[in-house]
Amino acid sequence: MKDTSQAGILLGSAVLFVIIWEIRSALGVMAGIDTHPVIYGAATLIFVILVAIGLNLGLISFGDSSEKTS
Amino acid sequence: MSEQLESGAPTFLDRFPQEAKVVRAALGSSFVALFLGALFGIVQTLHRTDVFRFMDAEYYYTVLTAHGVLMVVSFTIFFLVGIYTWGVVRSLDRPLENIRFTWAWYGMMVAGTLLAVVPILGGFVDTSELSADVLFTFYAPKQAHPLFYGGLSVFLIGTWMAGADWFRSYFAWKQENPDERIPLQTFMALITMLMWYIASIGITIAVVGFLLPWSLGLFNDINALLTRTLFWFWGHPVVYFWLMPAYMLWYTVLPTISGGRLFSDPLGRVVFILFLMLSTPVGIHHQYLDPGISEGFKAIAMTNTMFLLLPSLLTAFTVVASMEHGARQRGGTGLFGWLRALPWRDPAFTGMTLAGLMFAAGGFSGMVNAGLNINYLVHNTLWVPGHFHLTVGTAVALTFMAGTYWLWPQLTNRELYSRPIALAQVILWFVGMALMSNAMHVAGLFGMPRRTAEPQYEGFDFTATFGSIAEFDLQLAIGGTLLTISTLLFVVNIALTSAGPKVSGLGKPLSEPLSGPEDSPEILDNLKLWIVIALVLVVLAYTLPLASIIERGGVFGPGVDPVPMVVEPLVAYAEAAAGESAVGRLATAIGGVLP
Repeated sequence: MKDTSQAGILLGSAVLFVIIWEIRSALGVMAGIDTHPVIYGAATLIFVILVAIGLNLGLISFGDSSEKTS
Repeated sequence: MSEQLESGAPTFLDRFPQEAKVVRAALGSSFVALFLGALFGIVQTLHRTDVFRFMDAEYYYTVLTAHGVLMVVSFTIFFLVGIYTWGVVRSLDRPLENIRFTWAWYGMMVAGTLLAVVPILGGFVDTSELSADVLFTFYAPKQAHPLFYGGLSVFLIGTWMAGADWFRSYFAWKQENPDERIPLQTFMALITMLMWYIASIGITIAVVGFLLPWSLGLFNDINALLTRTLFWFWGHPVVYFWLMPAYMLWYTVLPTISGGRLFSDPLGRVVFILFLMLSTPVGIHHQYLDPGISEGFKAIAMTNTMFLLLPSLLTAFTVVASMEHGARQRGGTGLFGWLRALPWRDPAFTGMTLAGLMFAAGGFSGMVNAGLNINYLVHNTLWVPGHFHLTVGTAVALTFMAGTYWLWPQLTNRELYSRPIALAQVILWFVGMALMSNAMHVAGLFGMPRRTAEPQYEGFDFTATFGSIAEFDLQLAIGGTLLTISTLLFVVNIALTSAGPKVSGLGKPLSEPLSGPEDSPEILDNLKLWIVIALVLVVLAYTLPLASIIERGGVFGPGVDPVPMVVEPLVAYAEAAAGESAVGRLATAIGGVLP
């Protein structure tokens, strides 16, 4: 059952995208790992979109929705 | 007064219609500056990254100056005077003493902005003598038309008058309420202005004493290091001048829209007092690479700067604690489960929270800037704009926009035109800024310079640690474009809100703190004590460096050969020994490389 609002999906997707994208810089600067920008970028977008779809369809849940309030 | 007030709380407009008009005017002026500043920002971004160039590189500094001045002088400070007028009037619960005086300082600020912007725009007209391509950091040796300095002076006087206006209201309130503690919002506004008055000493001396007469041709020589130091005397505390209204929104509005109450009023007072004391005696940390200031003075500035982390960390704790309280009031449970109970659909809440999140990242990069030795790695690189686009460009700007979504309906008695657009706007800003500032930070670590029209990185070998310069340019351009779209969404949403039908009952009272002013020592409200301590710290931090600069270079000019002294003996030796020996050839080579 879907228990995430559209606002939550939008916000969560944005934050998830930023975190994964920033990890690329951390890998590059701190570990010297040069990931391919196009592949990494595309993979990031696909992952974020899949998570968003999963949340929208209720395939991904975060515990008991009764914890939520208005 | 609206007819249906029974259906909801009266708004600020209902209660103080004259003051609401001033607040609307100030906020409206700040949004015009934001819109124009954003247009110059995207032109600059696309030009620099070579995505789209339609102007000659010689105009880059004109665009950069317009972007900087409109964003960090006009947008931020017009918003500050608007939000503080609202905060003072609301928290004292009384109108301003003389609304004509209020309009006078607003008029001064508008006139000052126009006077300063005209010579900036004159930079686009080749036949015009008007020019002010001096960037926001307008110290010597860059010289602007006198109108620019005159405009900034008029603007500055307007801000001083605004502070005086709030102090008059406070003194009048104090006469009627001698035993009351200063309401928190008024306390924050007054402390901010005390900090501003101290900080203004530096820029006033720099502009009135040196830059303006120099640009008028009254004297030809100027001590560039002295004007730089006086500029940064003001130039760092101005960062907190932008930030403190955002803090006021985080402390007094964010807990309410989270559904709870401010965790601690006394902590809020302590934080603002720390800003008053510590904001000014730190400016030299912007001058770590200036050769005319001793390393010892720089180390002192670094130490003072690191102390500034304390109020920010206190704020992070207090604001998050207040949000958690709000979430639990809304039914949130668990160690982290309460996060889900926060009102993420509300653009005001989400915008301010994302702004706070980005501010944490900006704080970390700020620590790198403040470190005396590690600063050498990033000084004058694109890292620095990456840093301040997280602080003033997001922590401040995004909080102001989010706060507007909450406040504007109460100033106009009109409902926000579109909450979904507002929510998308703040999220778009977050993503756009993450991309842009990430690219700036990384490119800065690679050594890419700031304030440069066309850093091509072509025609020579350059291997990035990872990725490529072209990739970071593209990321920067995409981020800048998203930010421009976000700005347009904000401005259009507010404009459509202002054109909407009037309704009543939109007032949103603020909640009382969990720990109120009665829990804090009365000494926190002793403004005289804190300003004396702040002045003493400024004297301690600046007297010796300024005396040293003047002793070495004079008041109006350094009077020394600008070529580093170490080179001259080498060049002389090279000339004598050239062609005679290996040492001579080596000296010639060194002399040829060094300036």
